[in-house]
Amino acid sequence: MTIPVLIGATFLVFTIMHFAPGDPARIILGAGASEEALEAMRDQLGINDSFILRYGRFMLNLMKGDLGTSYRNGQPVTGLILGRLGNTLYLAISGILFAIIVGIPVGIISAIKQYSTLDNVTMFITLFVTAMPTFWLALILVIVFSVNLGWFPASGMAKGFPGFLVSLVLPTLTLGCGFAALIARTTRSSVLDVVRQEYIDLARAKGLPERTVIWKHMMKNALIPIITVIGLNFGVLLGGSVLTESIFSWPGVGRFVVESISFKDTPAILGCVVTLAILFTLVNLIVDLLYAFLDPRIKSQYRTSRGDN
Amino acid sequence: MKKFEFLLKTAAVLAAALLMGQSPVWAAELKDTIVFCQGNDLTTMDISIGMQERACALTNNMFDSLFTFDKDMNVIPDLAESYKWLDDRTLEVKIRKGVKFHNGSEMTAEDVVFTMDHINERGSLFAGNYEKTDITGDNTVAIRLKSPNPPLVNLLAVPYAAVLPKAVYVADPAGFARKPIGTGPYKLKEFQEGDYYTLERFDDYWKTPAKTQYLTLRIVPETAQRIILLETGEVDVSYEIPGSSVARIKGDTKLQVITRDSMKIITLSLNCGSKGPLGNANVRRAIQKAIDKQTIVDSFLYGYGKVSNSIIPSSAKEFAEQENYKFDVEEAKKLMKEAGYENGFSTTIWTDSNQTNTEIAQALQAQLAQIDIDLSIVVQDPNTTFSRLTAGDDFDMILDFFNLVSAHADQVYKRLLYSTSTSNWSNYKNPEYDKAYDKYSGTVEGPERDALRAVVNNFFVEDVPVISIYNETKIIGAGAGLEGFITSPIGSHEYQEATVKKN
Repeated sequence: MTIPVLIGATFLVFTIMHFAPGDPARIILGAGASEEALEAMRDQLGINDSFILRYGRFMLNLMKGDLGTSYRNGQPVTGLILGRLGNTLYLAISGILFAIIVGIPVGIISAIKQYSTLDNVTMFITLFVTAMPTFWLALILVIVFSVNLGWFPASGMAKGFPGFLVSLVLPTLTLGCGFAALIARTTRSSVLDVVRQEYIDLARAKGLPERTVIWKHMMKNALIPIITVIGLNFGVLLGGSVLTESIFSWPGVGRFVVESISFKDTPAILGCVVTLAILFTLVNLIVDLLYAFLDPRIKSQYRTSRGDN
Repeated sequence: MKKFEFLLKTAAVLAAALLMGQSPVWAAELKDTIVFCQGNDLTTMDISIGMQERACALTNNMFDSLFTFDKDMNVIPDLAESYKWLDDRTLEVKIRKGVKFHNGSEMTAEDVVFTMDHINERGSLFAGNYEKTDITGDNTVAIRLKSPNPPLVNLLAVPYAAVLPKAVYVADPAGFARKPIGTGPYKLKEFQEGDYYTLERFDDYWKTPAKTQYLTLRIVPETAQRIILLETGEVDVSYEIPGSSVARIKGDTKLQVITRDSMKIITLSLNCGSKGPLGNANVRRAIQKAIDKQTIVDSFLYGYGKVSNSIIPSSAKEFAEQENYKFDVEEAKKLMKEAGYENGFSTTIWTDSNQTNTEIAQALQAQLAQIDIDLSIVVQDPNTTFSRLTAGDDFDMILDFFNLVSAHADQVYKRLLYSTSTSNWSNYKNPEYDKAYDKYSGTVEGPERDALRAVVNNFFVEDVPVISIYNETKIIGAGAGLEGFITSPIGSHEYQEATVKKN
């Protein structure tokens, strides 16, 4: 699946960038540059060639693992992205971890105590959080925790320990809150589906402790839809990192895309799209493998289909 | 016994400190790093390429030009020791001795010749009017022009005319943007594109070395964040503060607001070549009269801007105000009637998505409705505007600006209306104007030049190809402890003398 997705995504972005107005040579040289200087710069960048030629050249280089050189500073795009990818992954992973650690327990408690006051209150809060715009949430967090309490820096990525972790907190909360709410709601409905099954009654009747009933019998069956939601939303999370990284001046791939768009730096934008697309397909692969691990029925499906071949 | 010894030593140190006056105590209270932030990342650190304000805001601290501006925007020699015009097209410059680049090598006449040739290749500064530069003596060069150009020293004072180290630049022109070497008060220490740039004091600086050891630029795209970072003390100086936020910063005793009239004029370019109503000079005059600039400044800029009744910023050389640029709706209506458009017409304005600009476009929409002009607003990226212009798309009005970095009127007259200028967005093609400009531009300073300048300026007054709306005010937020910071009308603010007191 990765290859068709990559071809589709790059072709789409390449076409948009090709037909979007704006001249990278002018952006690099600034207003007031002479026509000769602009023309020389366009030749140097290779943007005078035809669309097909440029796209073909891009795809050929991509197969060699070369994403081209940035219009903006002549540096290899691969290096520029790799320098930022780690920062985006730290943020995305800590966002997901936060969402899972908060979302799943909240969902389980809500389901087990269905219709209790606790359930109603948490479900109201999760609905509220899901509906909150990221931008607004980020600013509220900054005002409360940076300006008033002074616990965390308002923006930027600090270096070293524990500065880095401290500066990671607010972006993580911004990125992870909506996601946590979504996981909580999915977990709740998924657990509710399972909680009334007979084997749960049986497990309880066997005299198993409640913890074992919940984690071993209930969750293992309820996890499939939750993992699907997590996998699918990883893409949304990567997209959300564009906004979060911009607000918190976090030097990741999301910020880089925004900057590159303002410079009309086509190689850099395409590089980011390719990187994010690869990440997304990788996460989906991991999700598929997790299904097999969680549900023996799916594992056996894999086995039979392989046997058929 | 040990304790006694310790006490004695402490007393001795204290006494010494007292004898030496307050300085050690005072020095200890200053921060060793000044952090400033702006919204957009640099285009490049190669100062000869990154001519934009956002690039020079940093690189200005690493480079010096032959000339520079003093606090009142007068040109003074900088890396040049002195200069004189040998004739009306040859400028002789004596270069300062003993100036060192960050790599330790000494600046020579060779470097200056290389820089001038390089600037000419880049195009914009000399605009084709460059013959060559030769070394004429011990540390003296002669810059030769094809035709006379008195504002040359102003042009050579802009930050991007900085003197480059020939050997370093020639060895790796593309790499210079990542390892810039200049003669300025700060040298590059480390950076992460799009995030931060840290400079370190250059101890061998030819003037007094900078007072603060490190200078860091942080890129913070969100305006709200730039203000919050000031409040939390994470940054010491914050650029590009909107007028609407000034009251909030002023309300905080730990902060201060620094303002200064800039060299930037917000303009409305009218398509003089239009086959529609805007091709009619009376219509353009009517539009000029119908715009209430004061209301725009008061309502959308919270008073932080200056109504501009001239196409030239008031602090620039050869500035002239125009009386008849004033707001008068009745007069505007009369002009519309004369042009045969008493029932009005529909037209469009192009603007970018900057909030202030779209608000101004809306204000213009309301104001022009008074003379029955139905204005529709088209919001598009500046690059789109430029591409559409070069592609020859039809247009009516464009809300735009220019930043007069040379602080000399000549540059405006050339760029805005000269028929071959790429910045002639008014589509103004008038051989009479070109002739008048050539004559003015080629005349040495004196009464004759002033008279010729008035002739050139009159084309703006009579034909109204460009309307100046207001002169932008630079608004900078800073911690109350900032001292010695020099605000520049062209955005290349200086930190050489700047210090920040610790809270």
